[in-house]
Amino acid sequence: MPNEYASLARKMADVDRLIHEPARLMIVTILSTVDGADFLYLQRETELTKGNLSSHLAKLEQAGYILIEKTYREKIPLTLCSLTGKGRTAFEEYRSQWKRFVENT
Amino acid sequence: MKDKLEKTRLRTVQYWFNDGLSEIAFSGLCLVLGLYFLSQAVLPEGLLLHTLLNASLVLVIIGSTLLARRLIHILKSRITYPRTGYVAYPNKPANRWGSALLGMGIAALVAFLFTQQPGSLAWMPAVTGLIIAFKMLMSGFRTGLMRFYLIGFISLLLGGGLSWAGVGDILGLSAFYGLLALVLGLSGGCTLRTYLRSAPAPEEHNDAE
Repeated sequence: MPNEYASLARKMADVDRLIHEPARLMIVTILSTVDGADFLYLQRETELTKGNLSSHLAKLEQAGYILIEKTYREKIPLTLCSLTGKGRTAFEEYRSQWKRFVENT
Repeated sequence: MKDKLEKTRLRTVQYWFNDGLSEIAFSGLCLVLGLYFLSQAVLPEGLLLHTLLNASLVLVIIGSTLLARRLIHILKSRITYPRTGYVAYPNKPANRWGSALLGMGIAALVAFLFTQQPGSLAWMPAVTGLIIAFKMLMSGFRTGLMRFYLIGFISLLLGGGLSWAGVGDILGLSAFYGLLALVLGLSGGCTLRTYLRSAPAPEEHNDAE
């Protein structure tokens, strides 16, 4: 039994902590569904403050999981976020890891 | 956890339909088709305009679809994106197998009907109702929005009812599209009203991070 717990604990420790954080997981889930979403949409969906959301986005961008483009849409400034290939792969890996973990518990 | 992720994913898919604008645009498209078939039914057969209209169904459909897309884009840019944000959806069809199945089903049904001429053409409203109901069923399944199932059911009832009443193929199609435009307009209007109440206009643009 202790071996099983140790194995489960190892599996838990293996998950990508960057994605595992609830707010970032929500951001990545949203971005995995679409081609891109702007700051306003992500803020409304995650219910985070501007500062918090910016901080989470910066962490994801630093890891190369998302791409942040500051652009204009019909003369209105737009901060568009999209998932990179690396981010998509990391998210898929996280999902399968989590699925395996749930199946084993 | 999985449930929460699925809910987040579903909400993102539903966001496109939250404002009801796509239904309003589709309603406009149905209205154009209704008017087109009405003119076909009313105008005398020998008239040049009747012949021209007869040959331009594909153009009418393509033109109206492009116009509806443009209208959605303009309205969303003015109403939705400043209020609740912009989301770029993938261009690929959501369900290729479903679309392929629908296409094959339509082709088979139309081919069958044409071999059964002339009486079976009176069932065109029912066939159209069935096709739209199937499409709505797929949309409902993909988005989890109950109103699509309801619109699909109404479409089926309208088409079947008009065919059963023996209104005729062209006049029946005209009535079908007219009534469907009304249903879609009502559904889209109510959805838009709810959306506007839940998301008031921003005082100033706040997407400058």
